[in-house]
Amino acid sequence: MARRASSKIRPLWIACIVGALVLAVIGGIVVQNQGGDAFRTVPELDIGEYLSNANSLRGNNYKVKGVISQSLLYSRETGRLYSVEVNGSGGDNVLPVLVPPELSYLNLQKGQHYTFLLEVGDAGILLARKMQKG
Amino acid sequence: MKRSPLLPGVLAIVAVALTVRAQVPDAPVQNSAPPPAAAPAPAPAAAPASSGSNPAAPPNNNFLGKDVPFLDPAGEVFSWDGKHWNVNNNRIFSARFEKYLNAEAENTDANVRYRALVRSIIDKLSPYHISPGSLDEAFRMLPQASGFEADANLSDALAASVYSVWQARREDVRLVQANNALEQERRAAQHNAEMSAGETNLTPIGPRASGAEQAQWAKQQEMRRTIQMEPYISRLAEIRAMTNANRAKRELSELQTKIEFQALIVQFFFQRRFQHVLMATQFYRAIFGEGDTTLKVGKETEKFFSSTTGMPPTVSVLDSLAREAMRDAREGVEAYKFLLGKNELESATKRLSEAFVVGEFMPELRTLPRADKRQALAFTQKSNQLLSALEVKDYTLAMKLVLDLETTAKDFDNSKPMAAIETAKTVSAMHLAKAKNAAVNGDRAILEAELKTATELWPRNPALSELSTSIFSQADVQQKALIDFDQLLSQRNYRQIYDDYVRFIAATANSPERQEQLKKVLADMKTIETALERSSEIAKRGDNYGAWETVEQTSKNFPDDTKLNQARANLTTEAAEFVHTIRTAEQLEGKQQYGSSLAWYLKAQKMYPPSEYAHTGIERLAKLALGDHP
Amino acid sequence: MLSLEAISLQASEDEESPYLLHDVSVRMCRGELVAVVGPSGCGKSTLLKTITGLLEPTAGIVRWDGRDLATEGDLLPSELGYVPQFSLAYDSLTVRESVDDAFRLRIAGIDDDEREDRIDALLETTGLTELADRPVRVLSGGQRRRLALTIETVSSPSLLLCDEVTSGLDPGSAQEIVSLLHELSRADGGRRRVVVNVTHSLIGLELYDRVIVLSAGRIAYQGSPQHLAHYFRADHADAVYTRLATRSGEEWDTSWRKHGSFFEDSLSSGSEATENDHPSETEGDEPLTPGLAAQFAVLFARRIRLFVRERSQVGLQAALILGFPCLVVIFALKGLPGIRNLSLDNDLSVIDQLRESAGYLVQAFDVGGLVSGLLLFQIILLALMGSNNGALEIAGERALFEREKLAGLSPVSYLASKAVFLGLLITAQAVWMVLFVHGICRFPGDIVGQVMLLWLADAALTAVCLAFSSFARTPAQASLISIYFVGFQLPLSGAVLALPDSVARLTRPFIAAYWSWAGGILTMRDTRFYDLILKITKTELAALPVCFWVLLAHVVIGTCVAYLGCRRSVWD
Repeated sequence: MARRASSKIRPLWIACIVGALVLAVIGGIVVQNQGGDAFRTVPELDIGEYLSNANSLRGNNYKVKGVISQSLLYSRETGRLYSVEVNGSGGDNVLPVLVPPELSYLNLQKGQHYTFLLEVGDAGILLARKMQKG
Repeated sequence: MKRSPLLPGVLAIVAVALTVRAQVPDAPVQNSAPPPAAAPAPAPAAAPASSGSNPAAPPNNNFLGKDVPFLDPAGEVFSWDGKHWNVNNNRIFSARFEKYLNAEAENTDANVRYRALVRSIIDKLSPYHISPGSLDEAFRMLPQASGFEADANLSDALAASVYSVWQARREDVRLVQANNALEQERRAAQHNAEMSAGETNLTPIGPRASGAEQAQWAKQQEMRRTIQMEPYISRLAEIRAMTNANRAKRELSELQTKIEFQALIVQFFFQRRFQHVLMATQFYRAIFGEGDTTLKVGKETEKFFSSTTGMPPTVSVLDSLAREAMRDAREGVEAYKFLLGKNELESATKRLSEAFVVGEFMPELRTLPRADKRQALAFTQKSNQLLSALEVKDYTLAMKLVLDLETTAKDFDNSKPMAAIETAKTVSAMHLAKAKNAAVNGDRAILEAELKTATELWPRNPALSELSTSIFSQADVQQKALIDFDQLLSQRNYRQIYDDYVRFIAATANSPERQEQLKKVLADMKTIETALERSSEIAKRGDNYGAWETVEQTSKNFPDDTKLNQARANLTTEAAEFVHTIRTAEQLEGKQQYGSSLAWYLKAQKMYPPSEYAHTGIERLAKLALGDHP
Repeated sequence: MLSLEAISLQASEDEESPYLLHDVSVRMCRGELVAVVGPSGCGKSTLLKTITGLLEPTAGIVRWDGRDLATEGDLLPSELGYVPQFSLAYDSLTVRESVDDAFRLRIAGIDDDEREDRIDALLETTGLTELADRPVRVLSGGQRRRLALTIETVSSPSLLLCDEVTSGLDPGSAQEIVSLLHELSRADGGRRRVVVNVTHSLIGLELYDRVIVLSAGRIAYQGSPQHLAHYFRADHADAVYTRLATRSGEEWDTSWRKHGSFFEDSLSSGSEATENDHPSETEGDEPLTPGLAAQFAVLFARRIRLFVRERSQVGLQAALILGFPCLVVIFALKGLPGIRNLSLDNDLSVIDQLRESAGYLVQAFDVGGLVSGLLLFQIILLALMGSNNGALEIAGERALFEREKLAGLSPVSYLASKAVFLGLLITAQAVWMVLFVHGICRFPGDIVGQVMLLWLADAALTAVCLAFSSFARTPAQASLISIYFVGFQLPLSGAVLALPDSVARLTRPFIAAYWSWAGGILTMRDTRFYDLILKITKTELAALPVCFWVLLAHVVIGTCVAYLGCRRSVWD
């Protein structure tokens, strides 16, 4: 056993540090997965599928990340229909997203990035249930 | 340029001379031969009002023809013998003038020496230097001058005249001597007669003779005296008659030489050999010692001179007229040179032609460089061509010439020819238009009348032949066109109709129903063509999507147009991705996949923001999405 | 009794490497004042460090009172006093404070009065009573050595090791110090101790009980000072060094092995040491080392005291805390410009749309760039302050810390005291920065989130620089590395220019500025500035919790590494 004043760092400590690092990385990943995604449990919208047959997805909830592009139409009762640019498989696509009056408190502006929790509506139009910026 | 009051007269005379001379342009002038009557130049073109020349008319043998020719110096129109023609367009004059213009400047050694010689002769004969010696010298120089070609032996003629005067003078002396001899003889005869009369008085009858006796005696006496005197008296009468005859003969010989000399002067004048006129008048004055006696010329000539110059023809008048003409010719040349320098070819040429008319043989004209003259020549030729073209109503050529002249001559006044051309063209076009109208309406009478008028106005109008060709084949063509039209219409081959619409417009003129159909076809085709053109413009900018959309929209209305379909097919390939997007959107919309369809429309709009398809699609589906969910 | 049995020490693990000590066997008894002499580089200090346990011998055993220190329990901190060559005390503290702090750090369970008494007694012994209230800064060299001796004897160690404590002193002072050492070896409340003085000078040689002469790592002599000259056949002890130079260490060693026994025997017979070589009655009554909290309290109080007393430090910190935010706000003294939004409707022509989006882009560059820049600027300035906080904190007092560590100071307490002190400093820096910039520029975003992120950025840099500081050989080295580290923050953050993915993936985990900047931008998520910044930045922004996590990891790992660095012994 080395003496107290020995200048050597014990392997245990190195192991501890390595462990801490590993822990930090794992923690980071976990936090990333947990905190980075507001709708972690919701599946991503398969844009290819939506483009080919939106009606088949009716009633399901999905999440989509996109950029607000245009306001297409507004109705006091139904809300505002936006076009949202998304990057998916097969290049850039633009999806119609209906933001209901409940979410009208959001000051939506062109060019804003949002993560949408969407429900595929009756006509295949995407209905925003929740929205998170970023 | 201030003109001398004499000038019109000079010009008139000269013009006559010119025409006379023109008959035998280069023939040496026979001093004795009377100039043949002028045959008027056949130049009716320039004188539209002329009654036309009559070549069959018998030649006028009068010295100066039937009428005094008259030249209006402002109008360049020369009237003579009941005919008028433009000096500038007189073919003979033109030929002469052109020849002159083409001729080398007469600057050869011989020419120079000749001119010096002539000057020297004139100088020696001038009233300031005249003496018997200088007169002889001058006379001796005449044959020398005659040796030059430019002189045309005129000096010889002058010398001959002078010589004949002198010859006549010698005859005169002989006659005087004869008369003197006769006088002596007369005096002798008279004496003899007187003497014979006295002898009879020596044997008188007594004083108591009876009256009868006495009367008888007296009678006898008288008879005796008469018989005695008779030979003397008759001789005296003979001598007197001979003397008178001689005197008359003498007077006659002088007058004859004078007249001959005067005729030569006049001839020189008419030949426009003004230097020779000067020489001749100076010889005349020196020989005859007078100059203001009225010329013993024919009545017509005298009348001509007095009517144009306002005074009787005298040697002095001729002399001054010649000097005036020479001065004028010199001024004309100066003016020509000046105007040429200013590039005012028209005026320059006019001045030169005037100078040429007057002083063709003047050294100033003869020494003009050929290069200078040729500019005038070019202009003259073109002007003449223009006149000819206008005359034959070839307005196309006339137009071209006017434009040519405008560029070459700064001062060329195109207003008149242009007015003529334009008027003719316009009126012709109007008539042609009327003819076309008539053709369309099938009114052949009017058509023919209008065509005739148009042809008269402008025979060589290119539109005329086109129209007439088309009109005369019209009847057939129209029928065929109508059949074609119906056929194409039934085949829905509107493009063919459009391509040939001119034919069908004419053909359907009498068929209001077909006209309506044609109108619609043309309107449709215009829409298609506009779309195609627009699309091609858009495609040129690299905007294939826009180009396709333009064609696509139009082809919805006109699915049968081949050209449109071709363009559509080409552009569909070029804009394949966009087309696919729009098509997918449309298909999905058809399947009531509104969400998917809207996404495709949005994608299309992103690809091509101005897309009308995408725009309307989005608008439609957005309304569906918000309003009534199907 | 301290005995070294056949101690050998090689320069490295390699068998071929030269011996720093070769087969050295010595014995030192309680109550003995032992001098270890020899020319420079003969292994004197090495021997001392081997005894201390700072160096581990390649072979041989160090025994204290018969126990093998390597296997049967090391010397207790209170058993050992180690006086280094240079006096080690904070200049701004007074003599009494220095001694008092040493007391508090080393000995637990003594009330204030007793401590005062004992301090008085100690000062009395070392002759510093009159200087008790003077700051260390004003002490002379001799006085400083005395202070060091005082500090090292607060725990009444049985073994007092002095390394060249007389070097550099005038002969008088040196003689005094040797006398003091002699005194300390004999009298300490009945406890006799071994006092070893490694020295170059032979002044006061007569006062030593035992003289050990080393030559090239080998024993050349070990015996009483009286026989020293005789053994080396020198006329006078002063000539020993001259004699030593005449033969090699090995030869002296051989000679000593041959003749040494007599001189050793003479020492053991002639000295009273043998009989006294027992632990005294009071033996086993070693004072307790204070607990972590107690040590922390002392250290923290001392750090505060030191901070307050160092005017320059206070001034510097004030300048940084107050001045740096001013540097930030000058870029937006009139606040941030308003934002014109893009038209959401599609009723504009293509040209108008292009024009509008070009205008928006320009605006994004202007306003987004400004906001992002201001945030980054704050972070970089805090990083600079963080490096300033951490870089010298340990490296600047390493020798002192090492001595205190030897005397029983726990690195945990030490680090904790540093952490708490620096934490306060960081809080002041970050909070003021954020509040000031928010107040003056109307900086957008969640203020609490930004304070936390900026605090963490500052803390991360401080912790990392503290780690550097703990491992650095010199303060200058620590400063240099820290400055470099801060320098890399700006370019590698990706906030100004986006990094290539591979580089970003490799470097980003270590760049606190990125995480703080990314997190800071995310705190503005509900504002339009956020959109503008997103428009112009190509660097991907991590999620806010990840930013917090990574920054926290920086702080924790930095502190852990700093702890490791503190545990290391760093002796010259």
